[in-house]
Amino acid sequence: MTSSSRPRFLFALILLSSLTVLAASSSLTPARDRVRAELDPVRDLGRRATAGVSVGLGRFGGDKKLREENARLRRDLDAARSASLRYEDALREREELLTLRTYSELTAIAAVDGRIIDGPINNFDETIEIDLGAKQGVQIGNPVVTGAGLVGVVVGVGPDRARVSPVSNASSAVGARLSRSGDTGIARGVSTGRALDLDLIDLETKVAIGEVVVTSGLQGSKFPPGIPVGRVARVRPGTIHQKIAVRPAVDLERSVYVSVLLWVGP
Amino acid sequence: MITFGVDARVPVARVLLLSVTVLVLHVMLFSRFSLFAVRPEPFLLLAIIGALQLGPSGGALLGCTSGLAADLLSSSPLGLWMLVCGIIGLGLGALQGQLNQERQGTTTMVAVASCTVLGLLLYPTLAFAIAEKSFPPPLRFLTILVFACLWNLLLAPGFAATTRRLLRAKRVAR
Repeated sequence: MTSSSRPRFLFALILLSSLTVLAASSSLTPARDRVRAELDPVRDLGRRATAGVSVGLGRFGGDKKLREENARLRRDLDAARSASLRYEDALREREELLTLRTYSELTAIAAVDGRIIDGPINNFDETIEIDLGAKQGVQIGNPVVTGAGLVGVVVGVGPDRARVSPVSNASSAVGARLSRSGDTGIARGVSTGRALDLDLIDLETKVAIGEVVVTSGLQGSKFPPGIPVGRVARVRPGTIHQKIAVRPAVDLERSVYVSVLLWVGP
Repeated sequence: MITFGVDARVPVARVLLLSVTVLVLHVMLFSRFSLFAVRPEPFLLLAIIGALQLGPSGGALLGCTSGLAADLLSSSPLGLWMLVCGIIGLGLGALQGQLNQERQGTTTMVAVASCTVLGLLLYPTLAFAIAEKSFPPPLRFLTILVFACLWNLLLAPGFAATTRRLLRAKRVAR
């Protein structure tokens, strides 16, 4: 092979092998999950090592007990906020005598509590990791909530860890319902931490800034009904539907504790 | 050991060992380095350093293996990082002979900065084209470009020294 044709040959080889792997990607996913599960202890080791460093630094900037207390207080505040959001939604349901579904459906769902232990592992990944896994009964598709509302959905499960795709992730779509009008639409994620786009709301529907948006739980939904998704932050008229931005109910930057609902949609 | 063409012997076992080592280091350590929620891109860095030290064949192989390691940790379809790092490794390896050999340090840093940016532009473009994944918002994307580049520049001297030491014994002079 001449030296001038070699790069072309190598390029073709890279292209061919990458496309082969891409084509087989979905069938290779279980193998990828297995490798990740094998790497979990390594990640835990790193987490423990860096936690030691942060505790060491904490002696100068604060105290571990204070941080723990802060996390507990945030959890309580989230629970109070959630109660307020649920109250607003419940009022509408009572007024319209449409309370065929109640929160008992939601509260009857078994849940396990855990903590967010890791953020994304690379720059283009938007998943977070929690310290609950298959051993605690967590499955792919389980909704994850905090006291404040919906966090996201489980997309990967290891023995003691699970990966959660946040509701504001670009690939996320949630069946959502406006608490006052009861109109349903789809809340699509844009990027983690940013407002969601709520689609399919008619132009005639009156939407107020600050209005609560909850999961619709309609047939085929990935989430049970009535979980707060967020509040309306901006409303603009579109050509067919309104363009509504929904600020997520859960601030992932500040959240520590989560609950995984042991519920899988149809 | 396999031979591509006439001038470069690629130490396959060592290349694989390097990729696995970087995978473990990233999972344990590098993924915890975070500036404005931006982490280093060690797999891309390995492809770049490998290309500078091994030429096109070795760069392509090291790029593909380190890219595959990156794919194992990503939520995108497998093969995307492999393609990006493979192209970067091959492209930079092909240019290796034309780079300034007298000022190796500067050349390495310029190559790391430019190829990190190129790889980070290429990856979401391919992810959008192949896997229909949306681009990160512009400000976030710019932050990733700037800080991942800085991280890689910081890690480059250590990577270059370690890689050189590991690969030197098996390199065959051109």
